[in-house]
Amino acid sequence: MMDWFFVGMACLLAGAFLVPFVPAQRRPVAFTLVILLSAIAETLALAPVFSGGGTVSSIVPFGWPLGDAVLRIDRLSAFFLLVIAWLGLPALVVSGRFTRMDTVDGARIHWFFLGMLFLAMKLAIVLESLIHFLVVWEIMSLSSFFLVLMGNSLRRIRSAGLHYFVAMHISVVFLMLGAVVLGGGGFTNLHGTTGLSFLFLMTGFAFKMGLVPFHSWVPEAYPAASPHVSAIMSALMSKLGVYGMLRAVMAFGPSSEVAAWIVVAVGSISAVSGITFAVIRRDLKEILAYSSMENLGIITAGIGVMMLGSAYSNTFMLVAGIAAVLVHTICHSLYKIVLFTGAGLVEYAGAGRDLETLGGLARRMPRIAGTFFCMAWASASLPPFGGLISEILLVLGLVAGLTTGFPLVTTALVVILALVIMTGAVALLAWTRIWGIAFSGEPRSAGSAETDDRAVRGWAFLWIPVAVLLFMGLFPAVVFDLLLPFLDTLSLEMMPIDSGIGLWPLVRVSLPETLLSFSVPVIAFVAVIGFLLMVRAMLLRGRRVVAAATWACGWQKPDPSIQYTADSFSDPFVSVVRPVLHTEYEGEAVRGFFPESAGSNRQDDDPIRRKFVSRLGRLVDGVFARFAWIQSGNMQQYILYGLLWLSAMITWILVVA
Amino acid sequence: MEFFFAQILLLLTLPFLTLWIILRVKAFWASRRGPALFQPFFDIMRLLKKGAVYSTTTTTVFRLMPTVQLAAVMIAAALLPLPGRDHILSFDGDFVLFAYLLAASRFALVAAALETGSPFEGMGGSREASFAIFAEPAFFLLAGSMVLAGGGTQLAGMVSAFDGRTVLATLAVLSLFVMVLLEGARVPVDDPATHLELTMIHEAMILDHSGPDLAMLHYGAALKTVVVSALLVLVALPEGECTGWMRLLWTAAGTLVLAVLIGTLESFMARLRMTHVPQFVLLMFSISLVALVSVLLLP
Repeated sequence: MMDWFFVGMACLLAGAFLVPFVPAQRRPVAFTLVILLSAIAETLALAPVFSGGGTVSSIVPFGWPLGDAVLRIDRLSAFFLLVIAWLGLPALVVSGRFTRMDTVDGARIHWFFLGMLFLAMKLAIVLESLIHFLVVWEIMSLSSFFLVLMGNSLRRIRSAGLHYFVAMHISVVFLMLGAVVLGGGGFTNLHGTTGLSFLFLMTGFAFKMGLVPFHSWVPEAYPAASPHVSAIMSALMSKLGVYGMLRAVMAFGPSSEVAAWIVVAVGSISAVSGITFAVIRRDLKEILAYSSMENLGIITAGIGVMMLGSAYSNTFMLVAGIAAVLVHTICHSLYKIVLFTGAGLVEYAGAGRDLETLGGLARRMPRIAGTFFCMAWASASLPPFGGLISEILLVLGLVAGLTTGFPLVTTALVVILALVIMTGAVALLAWTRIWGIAFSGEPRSAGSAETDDRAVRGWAFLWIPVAVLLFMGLFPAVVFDLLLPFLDTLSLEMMPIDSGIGLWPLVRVSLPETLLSFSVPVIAFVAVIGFLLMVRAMLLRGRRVVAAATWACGWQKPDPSIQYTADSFSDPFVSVVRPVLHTEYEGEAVRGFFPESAGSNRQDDDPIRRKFVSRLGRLVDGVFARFAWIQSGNMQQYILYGLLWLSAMITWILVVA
Repeated sequence: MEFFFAQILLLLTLPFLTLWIILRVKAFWASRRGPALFQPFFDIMRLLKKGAVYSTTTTTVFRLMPTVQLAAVMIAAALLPLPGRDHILSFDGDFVLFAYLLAASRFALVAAALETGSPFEGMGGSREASFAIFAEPAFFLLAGSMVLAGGGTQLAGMVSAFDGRTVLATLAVLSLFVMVLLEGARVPVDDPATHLELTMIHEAMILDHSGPDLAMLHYGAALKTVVVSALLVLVALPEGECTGWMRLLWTAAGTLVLAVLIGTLESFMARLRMTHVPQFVLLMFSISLVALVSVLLLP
């Protein structure tokens, strides 16, 4: 059945080369069809993975120098293959809006690189041999780099593209180092290898996911790319990092305690710092980028919980961790596909991206606003959406570890729990801020006042992810059942050898029962909302319902400028955490009885990106500057090099001969 | 099943009684007579009978959110294990859902507040969302210490995890009391009687609501106070001595006693300066932390 996979790949390859030659207006539709067809083909290819032995493989002979490529689909690859094949579609449906208006993006080559990106993502998941994996990984990095670069030709975006290019290649260097230490081979025969290569591989994947402290490219690259590309990069490409981490963890077998603690700490710190940076920034897409970092942090924390479960032979923790990772991977892909597309539609409607210039979009762009609101609500992990389920699984996993008996372990777990919960609470601030400032109220600029979304085609498709998330939230037990084939394999692989298969058969029954009981109150929640709405409608029927201006403390003519701003909204929280942020402040105090001028300008920013990474950059610059004298631009000096070289050669020939 | 319906009925009536007691106690300390028993009920009914005024700035979200807020608090109320371990809506990890339902009601309030574009409502919403950031981890620290003390992961078991351990129970009660004041928007976090918009939190967020929507918001806020108070009382109640109906009644009585306490506190204390509120909420965090450390150190 591997044939179907090759059909899908052929479809993608043909699409990448042919879509650029379709008439410009048809390209988005044609490309969406290509992705849809390949998704169907690849889904067909997965049938034996679920029915039969769990893996299908095939060997493509490449010969020298790379050797034969082994393609192998097991259930882990199948899961990620499904995510990448299907979840990007809603963004592609509306991508016509982003490519038609922008001449650079509308260019043929854009679709070629997008096709190559999909091709590389899917191959990376399926390739078994490390060396081929690295080649494909590089194709993925390069095609996404070109896509970022083509977002626009502005100078700022060039620098963002360069930043991304460098970050991705540091990631590749780490992956290569990992492969070198391992001495090649494939993912499934890494057993018994050193911790050093594990560290290298995990670092490489952490770069791709944008975890602390490797995230500096995230707020640069995502905002720079065009909206559907940002959506695909954030929702799908970053998941390759998750896949890689899971692969590495599985390959190295039952994990060590130290590694597990590092992963869980990096994950939860990424989550809490990502969402904090999302609260302090003003650019809509930058906020979404930081929110991606937060979500990937949560996923990493889930991987950490799973490793801890393995290290302490705690089956429940292990399974809850894996389930949290899988559920949150789906949830985050769904959020970000809709949110990045929504932000893009807002931007392309002429409103811009700065929160302080937005406002009142909900009335002007109702088609987009509906999905955006649902996703903002879901991103704060609130019921009745699916994000709550991954949060609950993660918390249950952490809590299950509390009773291990070691005080130090318990203390550490409680700290992690507090960080995860704090992430959720800050996310509430972040999402009410984004929704409330950008979509509610009155427009803060002429640009946002004139927006409308009547021209947007295919907006209805953005409701599909919302519906899926709602289903996941209402029926978590069904989701668990659907994930069982993946959970079966993963938990058996991760189980410590000495404890056998552990309590997996028990957890396999008890966990869905727990999730099933979550359905009752969540469904009741939706039902009660419906009931109250009905009561409200009945009460208001026939009564006087008046429209008037917002009450502004007796001021009869409210003006948009009196509204709360994004910065003032987050200030009570930001003023508490400001000591750890990077803050630029310039102000002029009020002096004298008749002050002539006064002002204040404060900009908070990500300290890691602004202090640590830029210092590191300067350091590297400084080191290389010491060698600058070699290339002085002085002709005499170059002639001298030539002479020295010649004389050295002559001496060598004379000595040898 | 009959316990469940009794609990719902009880929790749905308690908000009126609680509001009345708080008002009466405040009136007592101020040497006034105070409102009649049914006054809070009449207030809500009066609002329910009215039409509504909607700002032209608002959208459907503004009309939807009051129901979402009330529904979330109602489901949270249903999750409370008033009758003890027999509670039918009791399952592993229900405390997480409880906390997230309270968060959902908060999101609904803040989103509705921002809909109006009013600076005061933005101010209120900003404070509401920000102060909770320190309270939520504190609640989970407390929950974690209850799990550690052998309470399991169901609210029904967790609330009696500290039975017979006076120090721990006291710490938990103190921590939850701060949560009552914060979630119920009472002094010293917020002053429900204030008429200066700049100093409000909860009241500032509902300035533009009217009619049935306002009724739902007022009732939801009172119910939220009752829900968190009832949780506090459940933690304080020893499990072994009262079960079933007795436990239900004791919880109701305890909630009303707590209302007297809140009223008294409100009569003798001023609202904190807004910049000091995060420190007050951090008090809850530190108490929970102390509780957790004590559980760890005193097995």
